[in-house]
Amino acid sequence: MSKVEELKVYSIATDPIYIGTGGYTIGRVDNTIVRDPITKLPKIPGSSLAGTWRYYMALELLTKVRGKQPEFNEIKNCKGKTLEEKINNWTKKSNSNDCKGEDCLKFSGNVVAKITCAGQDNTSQEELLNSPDAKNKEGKTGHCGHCIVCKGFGFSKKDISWQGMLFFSDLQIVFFPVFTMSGTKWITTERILKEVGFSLDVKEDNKDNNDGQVKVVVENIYDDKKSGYINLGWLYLPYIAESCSINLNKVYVNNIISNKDIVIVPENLYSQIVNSNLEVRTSVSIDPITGAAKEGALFTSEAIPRGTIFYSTIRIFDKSVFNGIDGGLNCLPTKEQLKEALEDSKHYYETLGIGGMTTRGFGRLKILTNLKSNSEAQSGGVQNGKQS
Amino acid sequence: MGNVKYDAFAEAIENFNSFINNETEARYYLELKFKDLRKKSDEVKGFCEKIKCKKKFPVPTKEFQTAKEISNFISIDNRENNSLKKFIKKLPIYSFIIRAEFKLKQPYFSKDDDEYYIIQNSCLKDKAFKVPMIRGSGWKGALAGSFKELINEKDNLDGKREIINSYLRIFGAGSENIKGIEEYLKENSSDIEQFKEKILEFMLFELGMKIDKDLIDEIKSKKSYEELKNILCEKISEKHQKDNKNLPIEFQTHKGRAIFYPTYFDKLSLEVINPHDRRKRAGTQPIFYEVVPKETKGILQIIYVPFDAVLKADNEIKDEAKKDLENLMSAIERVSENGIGAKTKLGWGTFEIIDNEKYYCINGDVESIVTIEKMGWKKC
Repeated sequence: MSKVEELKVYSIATDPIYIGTGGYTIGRVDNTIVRDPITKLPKIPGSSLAGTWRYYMALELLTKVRGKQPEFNEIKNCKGKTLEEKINNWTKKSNSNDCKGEDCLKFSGNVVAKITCAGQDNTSQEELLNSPDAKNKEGKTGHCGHCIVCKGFGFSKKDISWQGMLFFSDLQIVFFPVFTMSGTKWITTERILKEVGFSLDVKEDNKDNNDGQVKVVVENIYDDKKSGYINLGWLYLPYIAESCSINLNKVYVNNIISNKDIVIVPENLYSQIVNSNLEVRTSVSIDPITGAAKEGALFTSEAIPRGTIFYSTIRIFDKSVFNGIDGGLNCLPTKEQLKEALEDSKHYYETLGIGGMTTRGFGRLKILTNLKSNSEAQSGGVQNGKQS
Repeated sequence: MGNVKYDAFAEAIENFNSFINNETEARYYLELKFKDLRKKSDEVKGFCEKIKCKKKFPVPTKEFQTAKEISNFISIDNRENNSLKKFIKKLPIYSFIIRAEFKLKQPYFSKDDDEYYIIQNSCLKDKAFKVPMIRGSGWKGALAGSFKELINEKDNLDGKREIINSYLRIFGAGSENIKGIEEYLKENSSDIEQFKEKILEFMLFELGMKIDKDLIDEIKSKKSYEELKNILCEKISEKHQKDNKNLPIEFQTHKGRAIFYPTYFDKLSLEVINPHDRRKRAGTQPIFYEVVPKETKGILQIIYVPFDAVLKADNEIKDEAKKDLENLMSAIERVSENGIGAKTKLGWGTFEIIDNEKYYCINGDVESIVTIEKMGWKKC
């Protein structure tokens, strides 16, 4: 078994997603979003995903262990040289499973988990004004360094720092929704489909006899029309109907889109179409006293529209070989525990979301892949897209 | 013959009294003016009927369903095995969902960003699905507005404080004003004048509070930070911590706890507004509005997640959640009277919540709240 396991993760934007670049950027709008520097395609950076997921995992963990965590002194008084041993002894004493247990909640280090485990490395609780530990000595430490969040995502303390076991890639757009004259269609390109791992059998001869014209490929739009014209936003393009059976079970979206809704566009047009069909919004702040728009408060922003389907990978690095090496950590979470913790906390993306302006109809995302049962995503075949 | 008629017309302008007393002339006049219409009585009838039953344009059902599906509305079809309950169980304790179906009493309109459209004022639609909608930001803004009304209606200070705290918890805070106040309290800036200004601005513009001249003078005349802090605490919140440098969490920059979902509609229609020339009292140029017609149904969904409450005691969160739920519901009732979207002064955007379709669901044991029961909200 390899030391690194790769999970393919598909997700869908349930709200427009706004991840701003900050500062001033030259563009069509005031607030621009993050783009790939080469293809100019919007994306969600892996760091955004990792950061939010760390927080959600900590939130889920703390919600579950609420009231079950012992006093810190109780652990301190346990036998053992290091804190780690003490925690282990405490868990054994109180009849909990040790860290090899199935349930990630019972992962022994979780007994000392704190909300600061969610934050950036050494932010001490002193800086969090309302933390209960703001004033005492415990408040001086940021990450606890023992719970599944710290071990999974990495932590940094005075005496030891640890690289995480979870690696996140950028979320890239696989299917992008565009409104056309025959309803909403999702566009993609051959290259993306191949990258993501769909086998495509678009007939080669079609590529040759296109009269030097740019053509898009669609599944039959109208019952018998083999070719014609379709608009993708403001672009009006000729199309040819072709059966390009894509196994949408793999993406878990077969309840939302079907093969009929997919349009394959040429590589050189893709970025153009995506960028001209982003959600562009003009907003203005309202003065509560006059009830009218505030002077100078008008701004425009862009966002990845609702219904966009993303693809990303999460790699889990099994570091069990480092177990017990001097200076290293003992008692690491297993791959299964990490997957379970990811799966249990992913539902927060459906409410708290990712990116900016999440309380006013932006940023909600639904992770479609089941991370727990999906050990080998490549084989596909899990067909329940309707999990809620 | 023809000339006689026109003469009658001219005479009418010259001497109106003699004109109305002369029967023939009056008949000529009427005939001249309405002759064409009388011959086309069928068309007149048809026209009147057309006006009566306004045309409704359907929204593509497939797109409507897809947009709803993607936006993740939680179904409550199966009352026994409630998915609302299942959903709320996954969230932190004392999270709640409000879900209500409502019917528009008047047309809804909000202007779309799409400039290239056949109607000059197109109704707001989702970018990819072209389904008319109310955005989450629209709901948030309208509810925040109603909250401010509620604040001003409370006549005693304690009541005000309570609602303001609730307001800041639900909607969050992060404006320049709050940041200015924080800066000063964290001793990053020592400009007391600016601090005073920010306090006033915050009260006026963020909370929309009524402030009289006495209070402004009082603030202006204060010299020390301590005195000002007292005013702030007195006016806004009594939550005073031992350490004076810490504002209560509600007053720090923070994200709101409530998440507002969009609402989709499945019908569209056309309204026309015709401004009148002030002098001639006649219509000038009709302005067309693409609207969601009255009687259309929609779903309002709000999820409240006290994510910042992991550090607080259970009882405290419970009380906060209860108050917030109560206040949020009165704000919803208020919005239904005030209207949402544009042209609310014409009564557009008002709606009524359908009685048997208003639910709330809270994670954790909360005894039923009397005021909510009175408003007819069902717990599930």
